[in-house]
Amino acid sequence: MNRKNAGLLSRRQFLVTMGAVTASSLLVACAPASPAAAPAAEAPAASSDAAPAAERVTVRAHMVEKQDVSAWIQMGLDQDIEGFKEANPEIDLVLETIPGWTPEYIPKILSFTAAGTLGDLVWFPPRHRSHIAWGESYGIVQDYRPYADGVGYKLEDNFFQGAIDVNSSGGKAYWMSYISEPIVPIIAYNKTKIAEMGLAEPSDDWTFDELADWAQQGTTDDVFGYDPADRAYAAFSGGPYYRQHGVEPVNEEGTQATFLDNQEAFVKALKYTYDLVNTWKVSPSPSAGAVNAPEMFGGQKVLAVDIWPFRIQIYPATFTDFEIGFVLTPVVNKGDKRRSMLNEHVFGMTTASKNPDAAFASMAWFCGYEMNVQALVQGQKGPIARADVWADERVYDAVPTYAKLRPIMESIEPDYLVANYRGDEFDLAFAQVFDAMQLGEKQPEEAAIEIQDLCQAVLDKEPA
Amino acid sequence: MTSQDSSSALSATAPLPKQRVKMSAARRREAIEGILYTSPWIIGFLVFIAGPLLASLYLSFTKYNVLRPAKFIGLTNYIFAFTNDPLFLPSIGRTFYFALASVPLAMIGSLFVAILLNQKLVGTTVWRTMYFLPTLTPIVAAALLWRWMLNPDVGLINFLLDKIGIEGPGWLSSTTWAIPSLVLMGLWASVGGSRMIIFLAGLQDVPTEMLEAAEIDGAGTWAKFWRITLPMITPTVFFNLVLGIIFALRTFDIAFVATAGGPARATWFISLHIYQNAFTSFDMGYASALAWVFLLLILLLTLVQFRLSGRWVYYAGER
Amino acid sequence: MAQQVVGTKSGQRHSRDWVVGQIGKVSLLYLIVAIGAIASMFPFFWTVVSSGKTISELYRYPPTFWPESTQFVKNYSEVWSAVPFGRWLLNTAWVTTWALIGGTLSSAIVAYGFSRFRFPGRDLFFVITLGTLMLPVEVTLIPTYLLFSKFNWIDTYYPLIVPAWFGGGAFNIFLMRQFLLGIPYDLDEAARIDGANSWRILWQIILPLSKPALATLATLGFIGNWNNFLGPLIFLNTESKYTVAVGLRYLQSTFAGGSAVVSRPQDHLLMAAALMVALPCLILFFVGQRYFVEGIATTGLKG
Repeated sequence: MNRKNAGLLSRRQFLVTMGAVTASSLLVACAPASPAAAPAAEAPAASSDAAPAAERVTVRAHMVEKQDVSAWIQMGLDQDIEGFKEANPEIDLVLETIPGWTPEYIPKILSFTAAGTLGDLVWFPPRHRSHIAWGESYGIVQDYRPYADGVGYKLEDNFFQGAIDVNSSGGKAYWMSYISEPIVPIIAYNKTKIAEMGLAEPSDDWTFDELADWAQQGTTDDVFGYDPADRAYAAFSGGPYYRQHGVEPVNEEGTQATFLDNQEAFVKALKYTYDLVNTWKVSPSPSAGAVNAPEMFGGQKVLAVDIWPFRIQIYPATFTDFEIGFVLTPVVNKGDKRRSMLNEHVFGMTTASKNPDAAFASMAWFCGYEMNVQALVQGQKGPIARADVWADERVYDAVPTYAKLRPIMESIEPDYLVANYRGDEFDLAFAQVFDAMQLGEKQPEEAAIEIQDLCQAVLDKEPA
Repeated sequence: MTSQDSSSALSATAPLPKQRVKMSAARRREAIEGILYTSPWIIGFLVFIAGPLLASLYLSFTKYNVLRPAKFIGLTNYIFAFTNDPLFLPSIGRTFYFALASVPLAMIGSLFVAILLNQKLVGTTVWRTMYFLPTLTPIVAAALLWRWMLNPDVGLINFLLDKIGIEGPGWLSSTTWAIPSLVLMGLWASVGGSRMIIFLAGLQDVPTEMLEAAEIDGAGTWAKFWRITLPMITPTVFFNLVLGIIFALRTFDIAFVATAGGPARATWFISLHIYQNAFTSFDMGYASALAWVFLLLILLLTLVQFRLSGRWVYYAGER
Repeated sequence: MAQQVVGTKSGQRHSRDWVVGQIGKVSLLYLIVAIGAIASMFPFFWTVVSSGKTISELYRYPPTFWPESTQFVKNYSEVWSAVPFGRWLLNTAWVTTWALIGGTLSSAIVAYGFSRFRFPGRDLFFVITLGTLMLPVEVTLIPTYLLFSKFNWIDTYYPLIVPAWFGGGAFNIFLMRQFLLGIPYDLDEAARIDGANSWRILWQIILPLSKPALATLATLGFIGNWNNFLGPLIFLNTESKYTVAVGLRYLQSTFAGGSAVVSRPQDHLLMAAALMVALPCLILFFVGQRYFVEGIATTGLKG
């Protein structure tokens, strides 16, 4: 039947119609791009009318769309913390946010760079100082020290020396700390359930053995006692744990894997984690990739979990069915010195920046004093490597648990260096063996040697 | 409607005088017309695709991190892949294992569902929509659900298995079961999805009077399926097979979201390896070399399928 | 089969056993269909349920099968206020519509060329066409970006729409080719003898006979374009131009390299947003699917 209808349409009519449809649709296809682009184009024009004296400069900052990254900076702008907008009326700060995490962010940044359209500031969460390559060998970011000196900004007055060191190389400051925290220094535990079960509360001075005993008491058919959760899965988040056992993953130059320099301690550290799952069975089965520790803890299937500092504020706000307590992670022997490792999100100034002074001012504001006190007080973001922020009482009024982190942060140890900047590959190589051990397919002794070999193979590769 | 109807309708509107032309001229005309009809794609291919394709081929012979100019290094990347990369060959093996396990099940499953839903059921629309729903459930939501269902300690599947006295495996937390788990997840997501829809559309090409005639001849359901239905839908079977294999070999999302290549690299497919080299290690040159080796492998496989297709695919209108 | 049941009512000739057998067969058929449907439905149902829970309840073991907290309204409105969801929906509808029209039409034309005409290099070019499906996208992503940036197309919808008008991609072309090859060539020849040229044959014979294929192409094309993530992510920069697939990531908790990355768990909102993204596809499928099965099935062409 349709065939007859189609038959009514002559070929010419059809061609004309098709041509019209094609042409008009291609024309219209570009239409929504223009209205959307229009406000952006108008904005500078309108404001230049308002402030004809100062020339408008646009600072484009690339970052992921996240509560504690882009969302907080936007909130800071809206609240005009530290009077940034007032002090810099000529700066148009544009947050170019990318939803997701590095799998979405990195391809975008590479595309911008390749096309020569990168903005002024870039965000990055480095692994084993892989971000230094962005300055030294990729040439994406530049040394911002000259611009800091130009406005009399002293890095040393603002940040802990350790944080300056990890973000610099050869005297050049490539990155500025934005989020700085000790890696997985805290255990969160389910206060309500522990009380119901009649268990003692964990304590800040516990050893790993005490924790294991406690976890065995707490494990029932219904619930697991303890899960290393956030620290269990990588050579990165497990960094402080191995250091606590006296194991340093690589040498100072970042060229040699040194897991076996203290082989006995390394095997012991691995064996403890192995026993949690395979011998004592106090931890749930390790899950690959997607971590479901928050689900297990929130679902009250695990009594205690190792956590990142940012969860100190988020867990109580999210899991309202039970009360949550926090203690420091254990040490090997009573009274051992507490070891640590620094995790950061950083900002850098691009070599492509056309307005480096404005870019520096914006970056310094992201990482500034009041901005970061407010972030903590308002519960939007984790801590930063600034002495003034850590000395501010408002922080502890808002988040008392941070008092436990203060001494750790004040003597924080840097992330170790993977000199060919293959930090992620290094972690993957570690995880490959570690996973197999946790699944009971390898013994700790065997795993220790294999981790050393695979990680060394990564270190031996050419620089990325 | 029959073909007579249509041709008579045509002759009524277009009574053009026809000249006798030589065979070669007709062939030439046919070729020109064919190229004209294909030209949008030829142009699109040349403008939008050929450049990036050739660029990646060239880059596979270079050391290139996107940020610095590419440096020509000949076959070094290719040699490294086969001699020095402990992850490359195993990742290919794993990828083929996944494809081998998932494609036949997916093909049979989808065809079965398509035949089921091609019956004259009351409420066909609703049934089909229900079967199609998994395709519309976003992978992030589906992954969350599967993680819960397959959780070895508290998941639904092991809970049910436990009820009937079977100790369930670790599923995604097991190097042995990780790939079968992904196969299971993929099957659920796609059995009633696009593959099934394509089969369903193919089933509409099976002439009903042929089936009726066969029925009169006393053919049973099974015989009708083997002798009439299946041969008539071989073009769609072939399509689903070729693309099913290509897509299975390229599997990325499901492994990236559900297992991130783990545990212990048990689901570290070639696509993840390429991705990691390109965007984590900034080895775009090397990633391109891996991609081209992989492309040649799939291409070879596809060519073999096309060569063999002459023996079993039936085209009513082949030229 | 349902018709056969009706048939038995009028036809008294059949024995009782035969009738019982038929009813049994039909019941069995419905049973199988229903079991499969429930298994398919379950995850979607679970997504719906989850979208009305608090995050605490979402993580509860064992899970609740209907939300105790029932905060559907709160969750859905939170999605709308948290992100510019309406704007993204409009953008997505826009891109999808134009890419779909272009992709479906042009792939039908190109497939006609591939399936009905013999020309030198045809089969080689077809293999190359399929080859475009085989190269992992990671390695062509940046060259493609550079290409579109030379056209000044970055942050516009052109990269998402215009290429579709040039053949609609290898998947569409191959699928359409397979269907066209199933249409007997006698039809073309008959029409040709009657004086129809090839363009006319395409529009008056081939395409009307390909309605199930075109409907399939259009449906899959809609879903594909609607959920396209990588293209909009890479080629668009401005948040107000994003599509829903990209926007969904705003609500997704992120995990990287095995460790959780800073993000507030908000999977309940993710579920709500995911459902809203899926809804247009669902409606389209529900309404449009009858076209899959319309066409030549009943016309009875020669076999």
